[in-house]
Formats: sequence, C-alpha cells, structure tokens
Amino acid sequence: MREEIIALLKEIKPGVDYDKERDLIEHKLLESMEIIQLVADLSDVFDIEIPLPYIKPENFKSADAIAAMVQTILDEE
Amino acid sequence: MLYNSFVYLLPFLGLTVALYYLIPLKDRWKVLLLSSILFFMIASGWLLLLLLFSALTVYIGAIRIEKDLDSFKDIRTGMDRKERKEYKKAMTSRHRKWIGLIVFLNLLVLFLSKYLNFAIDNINRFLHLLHHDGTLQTLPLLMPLGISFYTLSAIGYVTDVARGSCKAEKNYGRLVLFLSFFPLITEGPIERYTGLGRQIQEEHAFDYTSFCYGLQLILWGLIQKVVLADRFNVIVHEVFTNYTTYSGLAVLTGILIYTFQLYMDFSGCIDIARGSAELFGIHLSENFRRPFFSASVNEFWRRWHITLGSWLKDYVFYPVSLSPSFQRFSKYCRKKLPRYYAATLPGIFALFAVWISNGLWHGAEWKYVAYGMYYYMIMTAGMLLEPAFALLSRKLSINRESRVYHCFQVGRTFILVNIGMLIFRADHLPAAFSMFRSLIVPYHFRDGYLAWLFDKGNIHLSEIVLLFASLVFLCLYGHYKEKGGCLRKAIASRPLPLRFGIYLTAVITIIVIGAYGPGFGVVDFIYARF
Repeated sequence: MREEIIALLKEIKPGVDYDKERDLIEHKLLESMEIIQLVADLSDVFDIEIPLPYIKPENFKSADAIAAMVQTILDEE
Repeated sequence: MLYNSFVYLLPFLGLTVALYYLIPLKDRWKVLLLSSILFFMIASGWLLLLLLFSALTVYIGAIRIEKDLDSFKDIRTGMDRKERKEYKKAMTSRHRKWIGLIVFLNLLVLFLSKYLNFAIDNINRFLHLLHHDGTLQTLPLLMPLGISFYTLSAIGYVTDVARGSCKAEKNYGRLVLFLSFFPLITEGPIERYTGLGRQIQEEHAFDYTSFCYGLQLILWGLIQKVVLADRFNVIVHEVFTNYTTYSGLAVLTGILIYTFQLYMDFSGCIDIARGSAELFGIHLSENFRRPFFSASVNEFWRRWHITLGSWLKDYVFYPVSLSPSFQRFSKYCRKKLPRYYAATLPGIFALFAVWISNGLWHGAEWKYVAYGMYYYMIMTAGMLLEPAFALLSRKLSINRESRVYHCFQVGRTFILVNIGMLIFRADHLPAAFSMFRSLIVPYHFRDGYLAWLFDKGNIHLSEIVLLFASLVFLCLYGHYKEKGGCLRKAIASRPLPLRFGIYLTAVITIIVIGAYGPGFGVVDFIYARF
C-alpha cells in the first residue's frame, strides 16, 4: 500500500523524497490543492470514501501516515 | 472599550488579572467569563442575548451529536461490515441535517444583524431596474460586538464535535466563555475549540514567564497601534475621502500608507489580544506571520489573518471540494482533461466558495465581494497559467529558484496586495476604480510633495523619519524571525537592568510619541467593524 501511495504522491508532486520526508505539511510540500487531488486518487485506487474528519494535517504528513489513515478507513468500513 | 484605552488596560484588565489570581484555581475561568460578559455588554448591551443564543444552539447540537457518536461506538462491535456502513451513512446524514440547522440559525442571526440592509438595497435596485415603484425600507440594524468572529468559532466548534476532533463541552458557561473571551471578541483571532476550549478547561497557576511575555506583547501591540498605525490616519483619510482631488503620487502615497496602517492596526490589536490572554496563562493563535515576505498571494493569505484563512480552508474549502458532487466532477475532469487541469479545475471551483465567503465576511458591500473576487481571479489565473509560466521560464532560462526571482515574486505580491488594499479601503467600488485609474495621471503638488504631506496629511519630518525607521526595523525583525529568532526570549535572557530599560523605553515611546492630542482623533481598530 505504501508504494502505491508514494506513486500517487509522485504523480501529484514530483521531485520529493517521499520515503524519507517526515512532514509534508509543515514543509509545505503538500497543500490543500494537492490534498484534494490525493484524496480523489486514494478513493479511486483503494475504493474507499475518505470522510472529512480524516482531512487533518497529521494524516497527511508522510507516506506512512497516509497509509495508516487508509488502513484505518478500510478497517472501519 | 478600545484595547488601547486607559480604561481597558488598567481598570478592566488590571482588575481582572488581580481577581483571577486571587481566587482558587478551579474557579478562575469564571472570572474570565464575568469579565467577558461585562466587556461585551459595555459594547453591545443586551445584544448579549444573541451571543447566548448562538452558544445555546451549538451547545445543544454538539451534545446531541456526541451522544449519537457514542451510541454508535457502543453498538458497532455487534454489527457486520454492511450494517456498520449503513448505520454510519444514516448517522452522517443525520448529523449533516443537525449541523445544517445550527449553521442556518447562526447565519440567520448574522444576516439579520449585518447583511439585511445590503439585501434590501439590492432588492430595491433590482425593483428600480424593473421600473417598479415600490421600495423596501431599510432598518436600523444593531450588530453585536464580534458577531462575525464568534459565529465562525461557533460553527467550527459544532463541526469539530461531529468530526470527532473534540469532545462536546458539557458546561454552557465555558462554551459562552470560548465564544466571548474578551481579548479576542473584537478582532479575533478566530479560535478553534481544540485549542482555546482545551485551555479554558485547564487550571492556570501564575506563570512568571507567560505573564512577562504577555506584558511584552501588549507593549509591542500598543506601539504598533498607537505610535505607528494611528499616526498615519489623517493622510489616509484625506486621500481616500477626497480621492477625486488627487492622482498619481498622492494616491500612491495614500494606498501605501494605508497598507502600513492596516497591518500595524490589525497586528497591533491581535498582539494586545494575545498578550492580554497570556496574562491568564492562555495562548491564542498567531494571526500574522510576516505577510509582506510572501512570494505569492496564496502565501500572503497563509501569513495574513491566518485564522480566517485556516477556518475557510477547513470549513468551506474541504467540505465543498470533497463533497460527492465535486468528487464526481473531479472524476469527470480526470477522464476528459489533461492531468494538470484535471487536478486543478475542481480546486478552482471550490476556491470560489472560499473567496466569496471571505469577501462577504468582511462586510455587506459590493466592494468586499469585489475584494474577494480580486484575490480569487489572481489565484485562478496563477494556477491556470502555471504550465505557460513554467514553459516561458525554461525558454528564457529563468531560474525560478534563484534569489533574484524570489525578490521579484515578493515585489510582485506586494504590488498585488496593495491593489487589494485599495479596493478594501475605498469608500465604494467606483471610487476604487477611479483611484486606480488616477494612479497613472501625474498630480501637480502646488507647493511640492513634502508641503502637501505636512499640510494635508499632518505628516511632518518626524513622522517620515519614524515611518522609515519602523519599516527598516520591521524588515530586520521580520528577517530575524524568518530565521527562527525569538526576540521575546532574547530580551528575557538579558540582565534585569537591561530588560527594565527596554520596557521603560517602550512605555515612554508609547506615552511620548503615541498619536494623541491635537490633530489626532481616537481611531477605532479597523477590523472591529467587521
């Protein structure tokens, strides 16, 4: 799942080392416009609906955090 | 009661602080509640009932929503995946209806207090266009203090409870305090319950460092407001009121000085507010982060009135852009458009809701709608033309990462922001257009530029020196903070005599060169009217 997420992130914003980057939000690498693109991509790829409460900085700060969020939503569903 | 008035700073704030630290820890929030109610009633009297009504709607709504969420937690383990999904769907739809009703009630109060006459005026204009004789009478509206600010905080609170970001407040008094906390009721910052609400629930013992930081912030806020912002009110008022008389350099001077005045006024007020709160051990959100260092208007709005931008992002932009209809539109775009535009276009549509809200939030006038739309158009143009800019830069071998290019971007943003300020401050939209056009027409000063400043603007050599000195200081201080410096900590680490000298100099500066006396009127905080 992590690799798929990194592939999506690279498509949205290339040139970032998503393996190592720990705070995409604080470092302004992922902003609101990119987040809504990513949410649409995640919904398509993992066939999930990401509810609004999940749209918070801590869930998008790294590839691991995004993967953890997707896993939680899959588990909840 | 102005935050820079003697009545606020000594009798009001001083007595509240004294009483706060005299009574037991667990009751201290009650002192803040009583002071906040008193502060509100001094400004708006029994319009307090409207604030209490807003608080009541979100109080009841949040508790009801939380009970619903808790009951789902209790029964979800016994459900299979399909049942859980269906139950959640029904619950979310129920919560949307409740929040919709609460938002409607709160916005209705805001509409009746702030926007009714604007609506009536526009209906009358429309009737006139249809050659209809009848006109609707406008009404003498009463607007409670800070309604635009506390309404957003109230809506944010109940939404956060539904999103599971915070727990519902069980004590109505505490919720009223969250909405009416006197340091922030006039001009914000617009707080979230996850931040301020949690601090209201905590007990605050006296903390010397926090208390000193609070005093420092109040002093710095007073310098910005009384020494810098108010001093330039006369020239701004002259140019924007008699705009038909002026053109060229005179208008440019008025616009640039207004930008400086607004920044110092608003930032000064926020610093007094944050400083006042820190006296009680409460930390409010930052509302400005050196906005004139921004390299784009997007960045400017992440640094200017931060709490409004952040509120609009979380409670307007995301709900709109992630709504099912927008998600469908997004999927459609991805099928039909090139990748860049498919990714950008849905966001651009969602931004429209943000900027129309931003404009209208500032006031019930078309110029504020135009102000919001001005920024919307700049951002939209920037996003749509980005591939063309990137291509052009490559063709012209422009290094967009270079320091020179960054300086160009900062200068470009400064110009765009000043045009925005012109729309914002002009008496009305035609006046803004007229002033903008007149910028290119030279103005012939009868006795020279300086004589005009002295005569019409009440600006003398000392003010010019002060203006340039403060601009140099703000640039250096901004640069220092951009590099991670903290002047408050640096001052706090100095020996007592030096610290005392700095504070004394600040107090003397406010008293001696503050904009008081002949030639200066009392200048209200500019954002307080919103």
